[in-house]
Amino acid sequence: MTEEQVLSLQLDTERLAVFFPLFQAGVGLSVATGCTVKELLTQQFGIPEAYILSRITTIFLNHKAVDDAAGAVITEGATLALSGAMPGLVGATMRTGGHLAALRGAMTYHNSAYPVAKGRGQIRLKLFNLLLDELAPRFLEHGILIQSGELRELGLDADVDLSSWPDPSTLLTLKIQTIRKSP
Amino acid sequence: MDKIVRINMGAAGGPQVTTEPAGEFAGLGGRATTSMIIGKEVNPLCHALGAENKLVIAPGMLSGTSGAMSGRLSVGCKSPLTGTIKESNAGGQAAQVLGRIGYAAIIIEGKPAGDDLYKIHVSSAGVKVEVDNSLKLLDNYPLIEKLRGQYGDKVAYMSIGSAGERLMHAASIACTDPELRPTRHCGRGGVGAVMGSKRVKAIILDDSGCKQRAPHDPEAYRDANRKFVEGLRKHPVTGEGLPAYGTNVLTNVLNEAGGYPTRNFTSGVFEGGAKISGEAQAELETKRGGSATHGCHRGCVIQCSGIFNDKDGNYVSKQPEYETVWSHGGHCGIDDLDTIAKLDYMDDNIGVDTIEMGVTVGVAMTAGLCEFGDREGAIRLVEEVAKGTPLGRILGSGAGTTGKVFGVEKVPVVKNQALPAYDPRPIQGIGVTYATTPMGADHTAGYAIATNILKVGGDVDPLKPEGQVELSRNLQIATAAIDSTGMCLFIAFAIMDQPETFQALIDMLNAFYGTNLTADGVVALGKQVLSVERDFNQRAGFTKADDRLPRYFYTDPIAPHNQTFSVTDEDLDSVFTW
Repeated sequence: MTEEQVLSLQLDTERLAVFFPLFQAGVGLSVATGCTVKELLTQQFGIPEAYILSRITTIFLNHKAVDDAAGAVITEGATLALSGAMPGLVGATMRTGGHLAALRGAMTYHNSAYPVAKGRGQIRLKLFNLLLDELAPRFLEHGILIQSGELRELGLDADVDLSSWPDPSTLLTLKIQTIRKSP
Repeated sequence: MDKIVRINMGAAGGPQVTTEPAGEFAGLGGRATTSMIIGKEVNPLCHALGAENKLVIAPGMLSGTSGAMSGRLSVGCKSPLTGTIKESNAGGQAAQVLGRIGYAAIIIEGKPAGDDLYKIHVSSAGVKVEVDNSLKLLDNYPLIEKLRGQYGDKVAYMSIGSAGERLMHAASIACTDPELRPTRHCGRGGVGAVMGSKRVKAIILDDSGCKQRAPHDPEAYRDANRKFVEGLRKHPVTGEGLPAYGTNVLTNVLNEAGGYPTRNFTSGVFEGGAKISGEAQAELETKRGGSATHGCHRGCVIQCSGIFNDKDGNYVSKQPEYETVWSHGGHCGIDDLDTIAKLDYMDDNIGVDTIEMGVTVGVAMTAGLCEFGDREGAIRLVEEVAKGTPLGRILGSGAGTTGKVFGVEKVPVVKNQALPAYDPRPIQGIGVTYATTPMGADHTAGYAIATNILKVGGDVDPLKPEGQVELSRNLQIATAAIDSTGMCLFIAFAIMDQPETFQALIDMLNAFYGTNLTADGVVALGKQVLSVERDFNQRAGFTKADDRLPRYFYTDPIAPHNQTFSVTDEDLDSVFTW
């Protein structure tokens, strides 16, 4: 088993936007699995429950709209997408526990009837719209899984010597500590 | 707004203008006005481009007042694209200016003999109709530039481009925005072709010397408007999401949901979605010195539009809407915002509906006229429309006609109007509205209006599938009512979630008109409008067999959910039973 390679960086807050396209496409996270979406967000990432209720108004787990974050279970390989409030009929339809949920048809996530074993695993996390600014720093601080080639494409060459990882497919855990620029 | 002006373009001796009291249409606005006039005065069996059809232009109930978000303008007629009754609305300055001038409606009727082209000047001094053949075949941007030279910048313009003059069924009517760009379009249903058939190229709305419309109770109106604006500003959709990213904020979410129709509705996920998302678009616009936050009319507090510049900082187009980014983007396999913005400009300039045009290009790609993802190929096809070549005239007639001409089996239309940017197989409920709305496939016909607050149809269990039909019915009723107020549909989210904001809207209407409208009255108005529209369509020969999606939506599952459309015919037929 290869040893986990961790790369820690300090970046100005304003430079974090360079990661936003990655978050839209989905970043890898190493997490404890077998927990609910709510447990993942509150316990592993320290996101306040009040924030989840008021700001994360649309949640997709494996492309299905979640109405109950306390019931939907995270499994190895899952894709979790988080969005703020959306316009349009369909935006309103996708809302967590929304009045228009009936319009979704088969796109609604239903909790599994079977227990899911707890363990560790990788998931894919996507952040959209207003949540990019608000949540990306928290996930970057925790650490995202990223290939060294992707880092190179982000233009962070000046911040880190990437020559240690000539193979662009080398998987790294990137941890970013954000610092505010001095005025 | 107590009078209606009627312009008979076919009168002996030249166009004749008469003014009459608003009469039975007094106190109405927007879609209620257009549909009730069309329902009463137009023979449903007429040819949409013939003398018997009429083009009705109506501001909203609160247009021309100090009320926020009251700038939608409705245009109604029999549609050449669908053959049904049609109401198409747009933002821009026209509704506010027309409201201040004081007309509840402009009715353009008849059809002139001969080939002359006309412009109409509307002001408080009256209405003048003049021949101006120098405007022939000018597209919207150069047309407005030319008109500004004569009429200046303190007016609003409505116009058609070359597509409308050529009577193409996808033709739109443009309304100018605060910067006098022809970027706001009554797009759907070919209303521009009806204006073209009357030989009217442009309408100049001049409110010089006019004041804002005065409310019956100014203090109560001001107070209700203040609460209404507060409600819009504090809601996360209207106060944050739309101003930051515009409607294209939907791309990522629809894609994630597997409901983003890709490559002519063959997949629900577009691999290039993130590249053309609202988030990517807003970042690019800001970086290039454009803007991701911009209002389409004065008095807009949501500011969901923007300015799209090229890499050198030069204006390309207004910020393309979600439906435009989809139709010219994912639907055609194109993941480049610059190409999409160019096509958006071309559509606005020629004067065609961006949904119909983009879907048509995708159908043409299915037919093999170019490959999916071919950016230059898509531009070439729209250039054919601009030039009015035989191919361009086919494409400009819409997706249905293009599919027939090129033998494409799977064409996404209902009542011959192209489906918008939401696949009805994974999102079954929107399929109910696409199938049954009197307008042909239309995503705004059953919008996310406050049915929960209105209690129209009672409470619906969101977890029961039969709720799809009931919700669609309720949403269509509520939307017909909101369309009649002339308020921007994007107020929907705040009034759906915040009862006090909904009440503020009702209070605005009552304070302005001195009425006692209630939520029940709003529901009754919506039902009345839909009944008139359904009656027109039935007399035009439409039956329940027309209230269906194309067959392949019932037989071809779509990835990733592998769903087909499964709402039964019986359920669809029950949508309008009340």
